[in-house]
Amino acid sequence: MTAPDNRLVTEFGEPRETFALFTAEEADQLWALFSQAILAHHDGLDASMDKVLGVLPRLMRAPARKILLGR
Amino acid sequence: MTDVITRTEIAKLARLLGTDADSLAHLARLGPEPLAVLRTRMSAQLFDGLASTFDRVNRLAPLMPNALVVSVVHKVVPPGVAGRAGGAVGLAHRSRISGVIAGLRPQYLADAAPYLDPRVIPILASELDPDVIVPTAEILLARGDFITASEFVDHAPDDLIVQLTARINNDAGLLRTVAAISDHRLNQVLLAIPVQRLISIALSAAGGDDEVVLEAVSVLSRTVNDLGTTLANEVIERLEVAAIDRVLSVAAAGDHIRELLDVFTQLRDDVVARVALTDAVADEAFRAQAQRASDTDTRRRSWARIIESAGVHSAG
Repeated sequence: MTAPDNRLVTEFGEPRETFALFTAEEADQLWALFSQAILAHHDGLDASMDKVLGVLPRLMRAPARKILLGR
Repeated sequence: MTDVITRTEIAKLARLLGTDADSLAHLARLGPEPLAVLRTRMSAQLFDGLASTFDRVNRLAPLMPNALVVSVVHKVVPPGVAGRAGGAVGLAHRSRISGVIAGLRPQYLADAAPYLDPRVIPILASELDPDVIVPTAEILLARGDFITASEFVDHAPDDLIVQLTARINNDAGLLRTVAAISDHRLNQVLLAIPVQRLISIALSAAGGDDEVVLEAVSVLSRTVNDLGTTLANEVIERLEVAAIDRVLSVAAAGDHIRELLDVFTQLRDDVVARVALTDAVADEAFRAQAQRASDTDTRRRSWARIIESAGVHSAG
């Protein structure tokens, strides 16, 4: 009986033979870290856009807000 | 001990994932290739997932002159965020890259550089002005961020490599930067650097701390063809026997004997004779370790030449 695919194989697919080299525990650890990193990157960018709006020259704020935040 | 390239890959993956390299040290058993494949895949997915956000920043860029961009970035954008966004925004506004980068403080650039999308580094590297990049590279080397420095050098045009190695005098830092470059690109990068500068960097490294010595051995062992032969002979020929002895002892303690034997393969007979004069070669424990490391025909021949030469010396 073959072992079930690890998380990296399930999520990324090819090259399967490469991702299958990781154990299930390693794949779970890496996927958890990756998911956290994605959230952290999104949060960091969103927070920075808010701050950028706060320091732009007053006349630019409204068009910049519309571009960055859509409102 | 984990080899330089595998350690580099683990460090790159850890940086991407925002974790400590020690927590991923167990992945060293896989070697560098699977780790590079995984990192490349994760990095691409991560940056592609941010594309819509980058697109909004791109649409804002035409409203902001370079001086305002620089001022706002310094004031409120953390370097990590600027680094992540900088690649996509720079690609969308290539004509403005050099103007904006020239306005940013070298310290800020050094803080942001590790977070760039690796896919844009080849494009950015070709747009960079050495006058701006040298101070930033000096900061990266001084703080020990050889991985980021190596990613830029890996993709830099030859004339920028020449400028960097001519104007930066942190030889240990340059050596460790070069050591982090993958095998397939290492020789091309080294060929861009004048041979005398390479020799001086390697000689400085031989007198550096143990970690630098090990990375110098790694670089020499991975340098091939005429350049490999020239470097190995010119460097070892110029070292005092005591300095060669130290390199051998450090390589033995750091489990780099295989790499050392690969370097010795390229030596002329008269340089082999200098290696044979060292205390290490006379030491039984070192000989046993070298014997065990002689696991290919080439390494067996390399070690046999040293032993034969040592036998001649001890007999004489």
